[in-house]
Amino acid sequence: MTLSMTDSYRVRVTRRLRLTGSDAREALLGGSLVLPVIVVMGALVFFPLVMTAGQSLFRIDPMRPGTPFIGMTNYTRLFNDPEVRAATANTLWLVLLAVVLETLGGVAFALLLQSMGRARKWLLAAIILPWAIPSVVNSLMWSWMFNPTYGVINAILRGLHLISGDFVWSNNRTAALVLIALVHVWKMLPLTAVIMLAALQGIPAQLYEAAKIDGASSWRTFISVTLPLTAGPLAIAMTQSTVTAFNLFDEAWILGGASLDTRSLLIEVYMTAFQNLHMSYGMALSILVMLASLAVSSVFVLRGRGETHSE
Amino acid sequence: MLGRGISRKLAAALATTALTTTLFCAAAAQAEEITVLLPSFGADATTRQLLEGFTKESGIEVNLQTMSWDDIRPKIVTSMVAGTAPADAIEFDWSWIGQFGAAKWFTPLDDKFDAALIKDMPTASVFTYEGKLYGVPYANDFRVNSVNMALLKKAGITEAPKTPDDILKDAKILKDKKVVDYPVSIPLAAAEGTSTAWYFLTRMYGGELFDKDWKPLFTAKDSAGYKALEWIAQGLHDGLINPAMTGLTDMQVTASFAGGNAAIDLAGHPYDLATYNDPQKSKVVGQVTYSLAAADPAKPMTIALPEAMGIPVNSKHKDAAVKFIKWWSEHQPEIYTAVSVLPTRTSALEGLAKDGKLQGGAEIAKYSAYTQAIFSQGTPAWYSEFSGAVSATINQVAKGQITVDAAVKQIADRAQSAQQQ
Repeated sequence: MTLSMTDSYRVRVTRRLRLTGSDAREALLGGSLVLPVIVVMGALVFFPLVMTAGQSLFRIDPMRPGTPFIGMTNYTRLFNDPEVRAATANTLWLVLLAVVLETLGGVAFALLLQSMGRARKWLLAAIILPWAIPSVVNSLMWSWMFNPTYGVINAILRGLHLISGDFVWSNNRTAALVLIALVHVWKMLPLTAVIMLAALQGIPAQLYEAAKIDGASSWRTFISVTLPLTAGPLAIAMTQSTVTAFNLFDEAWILGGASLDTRSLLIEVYMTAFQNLHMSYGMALSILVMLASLAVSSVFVLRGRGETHSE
Repeated sequence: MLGRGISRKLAAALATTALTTTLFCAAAAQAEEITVLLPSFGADATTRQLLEGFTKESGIEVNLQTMSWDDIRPKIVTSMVAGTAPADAIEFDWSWIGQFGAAKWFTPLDDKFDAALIKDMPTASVFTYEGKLYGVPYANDFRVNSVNMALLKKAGITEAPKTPDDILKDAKILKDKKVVDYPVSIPLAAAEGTSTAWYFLTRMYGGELFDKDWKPLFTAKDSAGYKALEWIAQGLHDGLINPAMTGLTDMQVTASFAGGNAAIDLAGHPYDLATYNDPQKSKVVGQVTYSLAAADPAKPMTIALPEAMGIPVNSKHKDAAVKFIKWWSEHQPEIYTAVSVLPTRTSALEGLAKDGKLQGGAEIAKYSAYTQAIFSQGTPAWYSEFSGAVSATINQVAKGQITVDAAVKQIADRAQSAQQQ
């Protein structure tokens, strides 16, 4: 028995309606699962963000009466503030050092762990340890090690006859910035290593066997197989490195205090808002820090996405 | 019959218990509690014991919270911006009066304390903003030089230096005779203690920081502020001050001095002797004395840096907090004996000195008479920005990154831009 044209059309419509109903139920389920995240993110991230952006256009200063609308005044003033300029330069150096060292070091540790056998879990536990230590504790520990008089670093260098007296690391701007970056990298590198290790473990072994049969060198295999297949996770790792380096506070505060040599943008925000009580000026600076962090991170994300999509 | 008797007794006992419990709970509900936030004196248990005396006298429970001095200000700011009281009676440093007075975050206290009590506290005027008193001084603080006479005597020096030049001369002798590597200690980190050390040195040279119109007075080469900064640069250049001081705050310098690492601590605190004479905290027990130096030894001067207690406007226990501050003010001698908080009442200081209970008593009593407010017009609302610029700039000078000329210009520019805001 064959169906008429009308019957055939009715069957197709019924099927489509059934599918639509199923889709709706799935959408409802998905929506209800996502809703708590949307609510929490909205309340704790987006609402404060919008409020901060809005209030940065007003003069909010507890020491002065009223909160008049001042438009972009706070933002234009930021560009002429010598302390903000110094903090921006410091932060950009710290971001550059942190992202480069964390990425290279993280990938190297991930490759090392991937190549290990039973010892991997022990080495992984050892590498992860600094990540588990709170930033303040981590910074205090390093500040003791770099203490000019009784620190272990100077003791070793004196023992090796590389320095003679008490070398004061914080008195040299370059050394102080590198020191702060190293302390930050020491803590954050394990996260990059773990992300990259997970990515490496997802690459099929056959691809490496094929490359070997084709006579590819280790470097060639890394460039042609490993790197393209880990581009997505690498972008995520570099994004988190960038964001945490832009938000660097504890290490710079404990190792350098409010010194202009090492003052990061977040320290400048803190000092502007909570020491000098120029709240909306601090808000404007924090918005600019967020935008800069987003701009750099988005380059990594888009680049990583491009690599993944081209596969 | 017996069962009925037991039941009656049980019922009576239960009723009595219930009544007692109700009365107890009612009494407990009536007992007022205040929160007091102060810097950690290092003897919280002793302080708590002292406060039990207040509770017995007044019936008011005290929830004492202590934090490091540096952390209290951010707590006050965040709480007040959020519209809540960080505590009912709270630490109020001299340097906050300009900002907090302008922000109207604290309760005026003029009509809540006897005029005679306030008159007995010479530093109370420091806590006045636009004619209103916002804090009652509870901890006396000014700057003195701590001198390790045992080290000086090793170098053949018999008396404490009397002028800023004498300090550098004596330090050179101490260094040449290898008594100590770096004879002078002074905080040079980018922190408040560095700024106050410079103000103190400026006062040593007999000068002021600003004129009556808040115009900087420290930019000319013959000004006291310029000479003070030059003195620091000279001390570092000659190897008399440890270059590692760029990472030390005033409290860290005190700890270092207690370890016998320097002979003269410039801009020490008048309560440091309690630390230096404590064998558990110090290697220089019995060796240190206080001293004041001045470019004109006939006119010694120092700066007043008192700490007060204030009551936030949104405190819910203002009357109880006033009672607590009154109690503290009246018991300053006992509090000093227990936890070394130097009294702010002249009569209390005199009484302790007379009884021989004041560490460095004669000097403290003498030097406290030389104290003057850093700003004769009162601490301005822009003080925090000015102080931040001073300490960050001195830190740069100490690291050899900028000259004294560039430094005074930088501080003056920052002071003027802070005033314009």
